Formats: sequence, C-alpha cells, structure tokens
Amino acid sequence: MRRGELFGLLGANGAGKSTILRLISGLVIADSGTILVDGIDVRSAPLAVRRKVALCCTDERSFYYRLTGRRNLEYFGALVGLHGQRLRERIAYVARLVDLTGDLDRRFDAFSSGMKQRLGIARGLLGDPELLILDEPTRAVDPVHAASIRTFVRDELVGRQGKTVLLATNTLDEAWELCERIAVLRRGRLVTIGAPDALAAGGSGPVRYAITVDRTDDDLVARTRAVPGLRRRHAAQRPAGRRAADVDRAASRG
Amino acid sequence: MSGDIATAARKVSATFLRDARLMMSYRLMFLLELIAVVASVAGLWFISKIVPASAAFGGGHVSTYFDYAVVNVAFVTLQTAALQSFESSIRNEQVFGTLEAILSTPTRVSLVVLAAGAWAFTFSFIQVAMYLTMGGLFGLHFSHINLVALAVFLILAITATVPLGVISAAAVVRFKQGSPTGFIFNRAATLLAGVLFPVSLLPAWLQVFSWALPITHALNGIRGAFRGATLGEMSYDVLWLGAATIVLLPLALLTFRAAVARARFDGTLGQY
Repeated sequence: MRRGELFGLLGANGAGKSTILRLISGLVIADSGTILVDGIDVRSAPLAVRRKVALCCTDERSFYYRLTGRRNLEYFGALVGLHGQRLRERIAYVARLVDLTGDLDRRFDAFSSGMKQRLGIARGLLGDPELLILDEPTRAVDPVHAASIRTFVRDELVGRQGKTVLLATNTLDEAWELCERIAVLRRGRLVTIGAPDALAAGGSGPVRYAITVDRTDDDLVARTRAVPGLRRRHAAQRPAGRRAADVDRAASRG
Repeated sequence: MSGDIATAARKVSATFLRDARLMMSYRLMFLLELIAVVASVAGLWFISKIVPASAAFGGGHVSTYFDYAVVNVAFVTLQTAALQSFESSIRNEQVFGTLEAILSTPTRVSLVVLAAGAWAFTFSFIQVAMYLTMGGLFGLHFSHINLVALAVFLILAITATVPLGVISAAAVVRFKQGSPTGFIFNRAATLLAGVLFPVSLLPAWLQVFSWALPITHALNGIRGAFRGATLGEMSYDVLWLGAATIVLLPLALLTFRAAVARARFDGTLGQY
C-alpha cells in the first residue's frame, strides 16, 4: 500500500479479508511471511506497529454496552496513550467528525446500528493513526448512513486528513466507489489487484444469476432493483407443476 | 522510562474506572453484597456462642471463635479477588468481544491482565471494611492491632495470590472455558487454609497442603497483626510469602504471555 492511499480488500464472506486485517494489527501471527508497516515488522515490534495503526472494529460487540459512548471513548483513548485535556479534546474532535457530539452521553446499548459503526470509526481515530483499517464499516447500516460513512472515509479521512486507509468490504460498489486500488480475495488467495477501472476492463463480462423464490412482493421487487451493479432484471413466474430445481436448471442453460 | 510508567499507570487507572462504572451500573449487586456480609458475620457470631474461646484460635493466646473466623472470612476475599478477577475479566472481554479491540491498542498484554485486578482488589477491600465494621458491631476486638504488620501482610497476601489468578487467566485464554485453578484454590482455602477452623485440627498429611497455600500464611499473619504480633514474630510467614511472590509472579506473567502468543498464532484470541 502507498502512503495516503485508500486501498480495498474485496471478497465474499470467508475470503480472508478480516484475517489479513487482524494479521496487520498483530492480533493474529502469520505462519510464514513478513508484514511491514512503515518499515516495522509486525511480528517483532507489535507495539510500535499498533502506535501507527488503528483497527476500526465496527463490530458492535467490541464496546461496553452499559457505558456511554463517551466513557467507552475515554477508556480506549487511555489505551492509546491519551489523557487529561488532550483526551477530552480528541473525543470532542472525533465525535464531531462522525456526527455523534449530541449522542456521546447516551449509553452504548441505546445507539442505533449506524451510530455504533460511527463510534467504532471515532475510536479508531482517537490516537490519530497513520494507517486506519476499516473492517466492513457499512455492514448493517441503512443506505443513507452507509453513504455518509463512505463520503466521510473518502473526503475527510483520505482527502483532508491524508490518512492511509485499508478497507475490507464484500460490497462491490463500495470498493469501486471508494478505493484507488482493490485486491480481490477468494478463499484466502489473492485473485487480482489493481485500480477499479483496470479490473473492470480485464473482467470476463457480465454474469447471469437465476434466483428462485417461493413468493414475491413489492418490497422484494424493489430490493432486487437496488442490487448494486445489476444491469438487467427479468422476472418470471414458475409454471405450475414445475419444481424450483427445474427452473434453476433451465435458467442456467439460458 | 518514567513516561512509560506514567502511561501504564494511566491505563490501569482507566481500567479501574471502566470496571467501577460497569459494576456501579448493577446497583442491586451492592445491596446484595451488604446483605451477604451482614448474614455471614451474624452467622459466625451465633456459632461463636456455642464454641468456647481457645488458644487454638489465637496462635497460643486464648481467643474467641468470632475474632478468629471474622478476620479470616473478611480477608480471604482478597484471595477470591486475586483468583477470580483476572480470569473473569479475560473471560468477559472474550464474551463481550472487547478483547481484540483492547489488544489492538499499543498496550502490553501483561498490563491488560494486571489492570483488570485494580477494581477487583479495591472492591474486595471495601468488602473487608464491611466485614470488619460489622464484626466491630458484633464485638470484634481491634485494641491490639499492629497496623504495620497488617499492611505488610495485606501487600504480601495480594502479591502471592495474584500469580495464581494470572495463571488462571492464562488457562482461559488458552482453553477458553473457566479455569479450574480458581475453583480449586478457593475450595482449598475453605478446607485447608484455616478460614473456619484452625489448621492444627487437620490430619498431619493435610497440613502439608495447608502449608503450600499462600493464603494460609497470609491469614496467619493477618490474625497475628490483629493480636498485636510483630513482624519479627511472624518472620517465617513473611519470608514464605515473599519467596512465593518472587517465584510465582514472573512465572505467571510468562505463562500468560505464552498463552496469548499461542492464541495469536492459532487466531483464537477473541474466541470463547
């Protein structure tokens, strides 16, 4: 990764994205190979690396539910070496960045999913790290807040603050929209790496999927229309007497 | 170096505040603790009505069963804190999902574990104070207390039992389930450390196990301090606890570090 780059790790669940992020953060030790962060070996100097890197666990389970957002940030801020007035200023600053200033004194279990994700990013920013690692920052967030998080990552973190960001996502559109380069992973292996346009140009063309559902409604139709990257959609009712598997086979031949 | 120590102290302080705030959020627990102390002290007082005073309770000086048992029951909570705080803290962090978030910060693993004991020991001191206050109301004697000896034995009681708790926490990191160490030592203390009856009543072969428990020597010293005994008179227990601290503490920290390294290698640090 280059300094100041927004780099994406793209892959389905289980592809190995989170494992790579945890390797870089020193939470997992690699069987072989070397990971260097700003020239420092993660294995031999994990504390030095963790001063430069922040893993934004946006998993809501990584906070204390019975404490307020502020108390959570105070605790994790102390762990990255902040204290006193500096800690209070950083909390106010990162809360403003992620638009949580008015909600910081609410208990964490009263936060919405989007607020929890944003608090995770705020926690990562407390120590002013050089490399920010985001693990699926828009997971379980509604489309409006997902868009605002993406804008924040691209415009604020990378654009204004010049942070280097490593973003893991399983959303193709998110990687395409945000990242300067993307590494595509499958089953723990690197499939390809490059700029989004170059990857798109080198692709094998559109892929056709057949999805069979037992029943449908307006909501489901609306959601299929919103699938990112969908070029064409064709809906057909299953003929009476035909099993779902027959429809699947017919569709795959088509 | 002094900056490192100051930073470490602030991290311990932050962990203390975190744990205190978390516990304060369960207000009913405090009330239940108070009720438990009152019930326990009252129970010992009633038992003491049918047990005559004896020199066996006072290390050669005649003492009441109530004076003997209340002091033991109060101060054995320090061992409970040592054995359970580290283990339950690590276990809770695993279950809450916060362990990886903590260990991804520039904080040493050993500090994370030891800091977990800060609030637990403070709370156990509050419990000790509650026991002694209630004991005083029921007639516990404080008139001969040697405060210097008491302070020394309190420190040694903590430093000699903390390593057992850290080893217990290492077992949780490695094997995920609650470690048997805490259970064994807590149960052993009730039977073997002379909490409810003098060790001298035990068969000779069981007294060997009593001798091997740090809490036996800690309680000997604390009871002696309440009788007004000097450190010189209790030098054997002081040396025993000091040696146990010197041997066990580095061993425990190395064990914990090895357990975390292994969990990192296996990728199971945050699993439970």
